[in-house]
Amino acid sequence: MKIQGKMFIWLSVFVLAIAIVYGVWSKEPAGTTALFLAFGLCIMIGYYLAFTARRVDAGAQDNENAEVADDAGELGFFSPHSWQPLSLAVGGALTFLGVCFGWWLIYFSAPVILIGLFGWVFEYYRGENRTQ
Amino acid sequence: MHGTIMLLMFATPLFAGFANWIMPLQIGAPDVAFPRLNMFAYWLYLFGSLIAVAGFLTPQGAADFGWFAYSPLSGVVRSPGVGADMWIMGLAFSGFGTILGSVNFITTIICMRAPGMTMFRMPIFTWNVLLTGASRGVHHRVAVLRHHFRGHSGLLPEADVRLHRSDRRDDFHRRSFGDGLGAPHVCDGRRAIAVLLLHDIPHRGPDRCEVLQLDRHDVEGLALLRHYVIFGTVVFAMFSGFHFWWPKFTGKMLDERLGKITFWTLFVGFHGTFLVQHWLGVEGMPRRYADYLAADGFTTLNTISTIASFLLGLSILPFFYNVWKTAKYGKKVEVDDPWGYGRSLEWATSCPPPRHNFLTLPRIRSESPAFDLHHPEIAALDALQNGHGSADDKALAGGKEAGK
Repeated sequence: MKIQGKMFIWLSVFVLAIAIVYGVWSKEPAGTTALFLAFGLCIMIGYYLAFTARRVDAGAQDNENAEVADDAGELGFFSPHSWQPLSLAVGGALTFLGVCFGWWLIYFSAPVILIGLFGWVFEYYRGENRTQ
Repeated sequence: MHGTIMLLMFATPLFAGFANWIMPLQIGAPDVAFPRLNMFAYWLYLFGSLIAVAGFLTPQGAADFGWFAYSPLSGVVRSPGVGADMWIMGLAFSGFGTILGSVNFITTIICMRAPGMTMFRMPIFTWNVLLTGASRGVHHRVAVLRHHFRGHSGLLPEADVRLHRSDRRDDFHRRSFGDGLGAPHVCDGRRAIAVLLLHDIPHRGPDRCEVLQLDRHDVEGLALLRHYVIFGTVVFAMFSGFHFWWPKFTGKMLDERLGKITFWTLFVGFHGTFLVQHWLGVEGMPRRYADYLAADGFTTLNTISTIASFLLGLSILPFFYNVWKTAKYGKKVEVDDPWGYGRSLEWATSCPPPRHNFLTLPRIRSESPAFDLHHPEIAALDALQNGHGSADDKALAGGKEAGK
């Protein structure tokens, strides 16, 4: 993760330089604000990665001479098929439409969002995926 | 809506689709990092796009302030009707999908590469996914902020090009951000740079002209260049991606001859439609004009452009026929790499890949792991010539990695 952290830190340095140049040159608040925020986002990711890299091993994926066996074992958990994202997205879409057509739509979208959220959060507590 | 659909509802999801299919294969990952988030991102894109397009069903019609929605043109006074609101909310909604999708891609690339797949052994496509992901996250916020503030600072809509150009500050602003904005959102950074560079061209001369007549010259170029750049990259890349990875997607090779017909009709149609508009612009044809006088002298080139655009549209037909023919009569690919010289890791697994992508991973010693796997003698030769690595590594190390 070290190299990835460095990449984002370099990127943030670049964005910072651009933000200063842009701000001084254009004297325009919107773009300058956005660029400084972009700098903040980049440094956040970069710092997190560099911070994590100091606490974990480099890992086989960043080792040029790694063997396939170096990453043997559990690779990670991959969620099975699910309809919960659809429910949450339908609710979200209704909410966004509520902004266009009137806030009353949100009364109808809130239950759908809650169903989606509830289903998503408690997915592994019930049903066929309970043991996952 | 044309620009919105072309960029945000075609090009962006096209890229996300290819990234989903190919990127995990290229880095040797069993899946993306957050499959659920990925699915959620797709639904956000779908419903957001439907909301924006559903503006056509409203009495006042869909948003018609262009895909850039400059203030104050996009304000409630100049663009009344709920269609504009639906455009804004739809794009905001699908924009969240884009951001979440990018989070998923970046995390996958940072955390889930196969052993030995260092950052600088990743294929260029995977690098594109990473950089696009990073720029999307940043640019989306820039876009939102910029649009928000722009409305209050009283800057001018792009529609009035003459006034626009007299405002140097605004011009600077637009050059540095305006035109580049959608592009990174669409696909990759290279295109953003290309758009920025190309857009400088039509500005150069007229920028210094005070006369209205001259000022409007080659404005056609603005609309044209956007299409020339975006169509030239996205659509050609889409077809090349389909033809190249079709065996990986479906296990069957597309027909070569039909593929060539698709390419040449597309190529001729594309240049016939858009290239001639360069010259139209030079002759003084303004953009967004539906009609002109015979005395203007635009007729011939416009006729060529129209005919070629039909050819362009027809070029999709041989492709569809090819897809049908391949599905029906195509022979099953039995090898991992039907092309014979595939380099990146997706050619080291079966066509189509098994569940979770790889039954066995090859040892990765260069940026061409699949090539090294299928052509060990060349990889060994390469390693010997460069005279590097331990005796064990010599057989498999690629030349490019020798200096490290």
